[in-house]
Amino acid sequence: MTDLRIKLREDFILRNPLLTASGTYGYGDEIADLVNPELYGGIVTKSITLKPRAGNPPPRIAEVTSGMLNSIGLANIGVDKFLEEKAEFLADYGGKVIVNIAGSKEDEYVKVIKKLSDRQWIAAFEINVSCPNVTEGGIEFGKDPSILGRLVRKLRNTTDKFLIIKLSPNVTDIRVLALAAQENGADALSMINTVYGAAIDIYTRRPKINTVVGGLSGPAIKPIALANILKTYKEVDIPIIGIGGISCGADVIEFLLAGAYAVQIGTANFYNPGICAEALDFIKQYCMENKINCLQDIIGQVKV
Amino acid sequence: MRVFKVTKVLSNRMVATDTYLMEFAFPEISRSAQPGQFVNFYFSGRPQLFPRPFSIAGVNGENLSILYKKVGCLTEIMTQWQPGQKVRVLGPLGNTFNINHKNHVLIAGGVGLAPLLFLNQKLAGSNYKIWNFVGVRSKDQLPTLSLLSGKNYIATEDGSAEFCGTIVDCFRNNLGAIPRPFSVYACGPEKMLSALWQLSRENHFDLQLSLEKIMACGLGICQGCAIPYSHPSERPLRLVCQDGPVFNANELDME
Repeated sequence: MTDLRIKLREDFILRNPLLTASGTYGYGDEIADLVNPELYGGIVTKSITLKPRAGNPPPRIAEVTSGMLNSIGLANIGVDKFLEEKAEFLADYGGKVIVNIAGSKEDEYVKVIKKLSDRQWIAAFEINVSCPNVTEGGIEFGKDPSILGRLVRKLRNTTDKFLIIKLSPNVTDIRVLALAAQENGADALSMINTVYGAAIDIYTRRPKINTVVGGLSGPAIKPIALANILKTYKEVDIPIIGIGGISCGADVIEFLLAGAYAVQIGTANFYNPGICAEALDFIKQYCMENKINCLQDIIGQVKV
Repeated sequence: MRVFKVTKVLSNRMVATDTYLMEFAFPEISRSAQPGQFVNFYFSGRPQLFPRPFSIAGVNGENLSILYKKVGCLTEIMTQWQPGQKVRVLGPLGNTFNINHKNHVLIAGGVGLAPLLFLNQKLAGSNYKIWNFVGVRSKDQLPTLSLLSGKNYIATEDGSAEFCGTIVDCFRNNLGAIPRPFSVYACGPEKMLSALWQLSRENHFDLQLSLEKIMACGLGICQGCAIPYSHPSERPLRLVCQDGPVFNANELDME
């Protein structure tokens, strides 16, 4: 039997490298009847903000070639209701609970983290500095290395929990942002968030989503994610969690070879509720056939 | 209870131009599924990612049926499915119609007939009175299905069969003859639903509409199928997949 465990740090070990991507698995409990959350190494929650958010007006999604365009706009129940309604389920969860946090001001991130930091069941925070679909904050924190560095430093001084910074591909050089996060105390990076995208209905001549430009996800962005991970892996010392269009077990292996320690499955949760179980089966089979005893051993082992 | 499984197509036949009735085995939910609810069909290895939602059009023992129209490449693939074809399906999803009165008016536009076929099936055989209004563009689009229980009205927009005009016009002409109180259940194109919504405001009748929106998941997770709620102070948006697809007219603003 292959050891599927992945060590991101001495005290942060995942039972397997599969995580849910924020916004594609709710808060963990909503579809637990259909997709067993215990198959996953961990759950990354939907982005939580200080106050509840209804999100953007419709239309907020469109289907594009091998992809999905969205402009949901961080619709969520807010940190207080999150603690009230979801703590019980998540406290019982056997994998890692990673709470994704978004904000429009530095102070908002800090306040949310302060409200959550004493909860034993939260293993890590993933900081969303790269949402393309909100007018204030969001991606603004993820574009300028000095602004990002200052935010990460503030959050580092607020919590001892494992701190993951989720990076955007919508920048000239993602490595600059990755290094800024690392230098200011991030424990890991996750990449990539959605890629800027747009689509137009040729009959109504209207954009297919309300914000005109939204976030592209799904298999269409997988090569973009891989390119960013390959570049960044060589530059940073902290682990990378790969995200972007993963739709099967072979994709997971590809991301690990590129340098990702773990991966997040996002849009595929929507179009294949069996994705996690299928991917795990493939990974086990692949490791057996290729005589891999320890899945961790293949991280970054692409031959370049 | 929702179930995700691989099942088999049992039959798949054309019942009108570009319109098909497909039956498939789904014993896990055939007893619990209610009119208004829908099922997702999944397609793998294609550039179109999202599952496609279809209203349940009827239950026959342990089997479910859907009525669908060929509108894009995925529904075109579906038309080629033969009995025995393995398909991945998830359901039942969404809410159901509320049965408030003894007199029931079912109004269908095109393939919007699907959930109303199932509702008619559930209402039939009781002491309910049923009026069915079925509207299509032309005669060839009228599904060759066994007659619906109750009184039937048909409208064609080109006048090739029965009433010439929209189904909402046809209903308006007969509205006075239907004893009150009654409930109207409708599914069809947005224009038709909006005309009915207007009519219900003027004529004060209970109206429940089954809506359709693009969904990436059908489970309330992607939050993509949001629609404005008529009382924005409570919760400004509702999800068609989870809060619907059936909404009361007073929950919607279709002006």
